[in-house]
Amino acid sequence: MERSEYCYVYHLVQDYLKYILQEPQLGPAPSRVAHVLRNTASFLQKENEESLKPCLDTLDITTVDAARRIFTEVVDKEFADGNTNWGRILTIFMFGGILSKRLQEHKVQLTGDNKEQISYFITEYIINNKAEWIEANGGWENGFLPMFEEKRSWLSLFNIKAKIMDAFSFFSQYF
Amino acid sequence: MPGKTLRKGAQQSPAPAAQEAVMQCSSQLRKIGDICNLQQKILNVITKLFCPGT
Repeated sequence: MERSEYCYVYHLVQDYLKYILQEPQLGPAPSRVAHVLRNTASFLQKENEESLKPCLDTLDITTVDAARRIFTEVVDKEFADGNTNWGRILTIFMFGGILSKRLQEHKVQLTGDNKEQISYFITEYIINNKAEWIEANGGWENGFLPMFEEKRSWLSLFNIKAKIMDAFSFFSQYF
Repeated sequence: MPGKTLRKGAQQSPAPAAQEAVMQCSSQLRKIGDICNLQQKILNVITKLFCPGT
């Protein structure tokens, strides 16, 4: 594993957690990948946080060590069927964000050191288990970005909506 | 001693509950990831069809 690769993922994880924990003085995303990750993973997190709440309530997430253990167990089982895709990669970030928020809710002081530890265990999971898949699937720049970049999806959605509206107004002349 | 047995049972009960929660959590994450992946793929195909230039 290259050190640069580790640092790259570590900074993505760190930026996402800062974004999710709404740290003050958080600037714009440091890269396009980080920007897309902030938007897509946080959207996914907002959409699914409630549905995950009942099972998370059963778990004792009151220390960073407990969060690390639960993170590893859950994510290991998620990928136990041998399948990986970019959607599942996003859930790694999302789940890391959920656990960090949980710790905060349990009044665990998220010091710089604690946040560093959380970023490390998420990064380590990705590097040790998913780095090969990520590389084989175009990497962050040529695999993740083309699939999730907002510009393409949302702009296109607006275009599609506009085209559908055009079609409706065209046909409404005859009905 | 009945008290001893009861305490032992009470200590063991959180583990299966936690294991069950971990299982549920992981299967939900799997589902969320797969749905998100599929949705994005469909969206990208639609985008290519309607807006080939983007």
